[in-house]
Amino acid sequence: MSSIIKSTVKRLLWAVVVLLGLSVMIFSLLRIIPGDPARMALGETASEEAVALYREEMHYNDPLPIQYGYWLKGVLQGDLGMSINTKRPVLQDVKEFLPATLELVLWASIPPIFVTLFFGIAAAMYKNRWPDYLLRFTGYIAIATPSFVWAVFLLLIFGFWFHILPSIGGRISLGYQVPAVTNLVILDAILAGDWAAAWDAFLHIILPATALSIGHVMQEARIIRSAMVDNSGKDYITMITSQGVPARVINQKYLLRPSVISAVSIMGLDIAGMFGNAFLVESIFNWPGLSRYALNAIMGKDINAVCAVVLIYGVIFILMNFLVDTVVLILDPRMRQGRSS
Amino acid sequence: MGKEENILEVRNLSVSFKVMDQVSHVVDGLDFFVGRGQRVGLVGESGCGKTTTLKAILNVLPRNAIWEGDVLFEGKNVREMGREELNHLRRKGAGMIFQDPSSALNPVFTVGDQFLTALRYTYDTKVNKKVLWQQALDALSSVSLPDPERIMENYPFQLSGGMRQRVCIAMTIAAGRQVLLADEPGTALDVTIQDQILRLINRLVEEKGLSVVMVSHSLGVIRESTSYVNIMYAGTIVESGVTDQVFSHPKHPYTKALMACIPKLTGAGIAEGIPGRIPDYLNPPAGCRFCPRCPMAEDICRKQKPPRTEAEPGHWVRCFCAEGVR
Repeated sequence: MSSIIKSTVKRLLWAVVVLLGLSVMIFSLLRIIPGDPARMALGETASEEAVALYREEMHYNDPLPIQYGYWLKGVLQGDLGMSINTKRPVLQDVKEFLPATLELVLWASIPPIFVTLFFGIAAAMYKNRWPDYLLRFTGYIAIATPSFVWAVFLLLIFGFWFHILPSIGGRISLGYQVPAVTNLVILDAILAGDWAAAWDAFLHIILPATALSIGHVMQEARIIRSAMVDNSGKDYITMITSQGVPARVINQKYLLRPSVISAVSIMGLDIAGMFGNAFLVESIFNWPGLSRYALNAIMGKDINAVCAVVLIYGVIFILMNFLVDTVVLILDPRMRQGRSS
Repeated sequence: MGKEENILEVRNLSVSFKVMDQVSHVVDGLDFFVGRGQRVGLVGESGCGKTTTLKAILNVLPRNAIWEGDVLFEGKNVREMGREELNHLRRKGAGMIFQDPSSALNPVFTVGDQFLTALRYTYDTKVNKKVLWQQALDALSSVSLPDPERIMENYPFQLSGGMRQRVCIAMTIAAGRQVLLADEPGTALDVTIQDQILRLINRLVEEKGLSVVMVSHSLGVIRESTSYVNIMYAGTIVESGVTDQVFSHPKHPYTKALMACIPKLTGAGIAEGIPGRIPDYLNPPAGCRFCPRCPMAEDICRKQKPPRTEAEPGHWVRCFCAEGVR
């Protein structure tokens, strides 16, 4: 176990280095764009003296490395600048919109893991029989269809034709008041003991989460399926079968674990990628998330907001990578050996 | 050899593999018998179906295999066994030592995990984990592995090839199986380790009174460790008999050629080898499978499969032309 801790610490340190690199890039982005940041902040009508004062106050006259130091200090204290679009501190916007995207991605990533495993295992166990063909055929369609097309289809089918799921979007129906604790609506509703609100919020999240995850689920299920089929012919499976261990135990343990390792890495990247890709689904489902906010910021050349979102998604990406590496480390002891020596 | 004492009989076994849309006929009408406590050898070139035969005995052939014929373990047909009976055979009846120890253990689980799982199911009732652990430690000690506690906690990649082979042997003998199916033990390892592994197997077999099917392509190994030998060519037993008898008076042209391949310390230099190669299993010769390489082949050899004939008492051969046959 100590080898796990050792390489985990090592990866954590690397993550910090990568984050610093990212911050340098974002800072450069902020300074590279043409125009005087002080003038942009104060507007056309501000007097020349006011701009000069502001420039001095914001350390814009100092050399770039020193400016970077001040900027980083500000970012670490939560100062992400003002948004041109919303005329509010960017931090406030982030606090408002990030939880919605976070909740969406959580629901689009964690429950689908079990669906992925179920599909992958079922297809491998019934190789070249109908469950396998069904998965492969529907898999192609699911993977080839972009998430926004799924979003529209799902909305049409379940929202407008069958009326079983909400069709106007949003996170929860009007009329429910959920006290904000974590800002994850379903969790907050459960914490408040308001089961009706939790159920309503759950109904709202089903379609966007499905639209966002369906392609990934099918892709990863296919990866697990082929890994299991490949590995089932390995000597170590024949060996343990020849020892009289029941097939159920072999499939669920000795075949499954070596077969999910490659899928886990891909899953992690897919989940991190969902944050950035969520904007279309968020737009279609009227989901007040950060991806949609970022889209608007890009359209409105709201540079502070764009940089803040890039920074946040960068941090999420790095954290996700770290998490995936740690899971792989736990699943595959060979990795531990390779890293610690 | 009294047939009623046979613990294992393989009769007219044929195994084919579906490869893409073709069928590869590897094992072709194979017979051999193992008496209780007997050590039987199975010799042949690489690719002649030795491993396939062993896998058929435990019914662990790959999914694309099609097999016919009978494998009788203590008189019961393995092919007709239900899941429980089959698992009983695998747990208590016969165990296999795989050729390549580097791939026979699961890379992502500790030795202890795999060992305990295998042991657990050899009991009909639930057994305390400590008892199983101790049993595994004893088995590891009996294969001369130092520090078995540490090995149980290790992952396979932390062990050397020889150690892994010993672990596999320990797993196979620990549960008190009656028949050991040894698939070229040690071949994947270097020569000195191979020798140690063979000695170990011979010692364990002696101590526990096991029956053995020793598969090898090395005549030296077979001569040393078996009392009865089956010479295999392209999925058929071409000659069988008491080891000494077969080695001193080989009858089948293939056996003779095989013997001639052994480099001798005295005499004229390097052995010649057998011209040609193992037949294409997708489209094997209609008659005797050795026919294309045989110096004595006649017309009949190309058309018919030679029957199993007793050339001299207890010494069987599948050949139309061997001495004692005609």
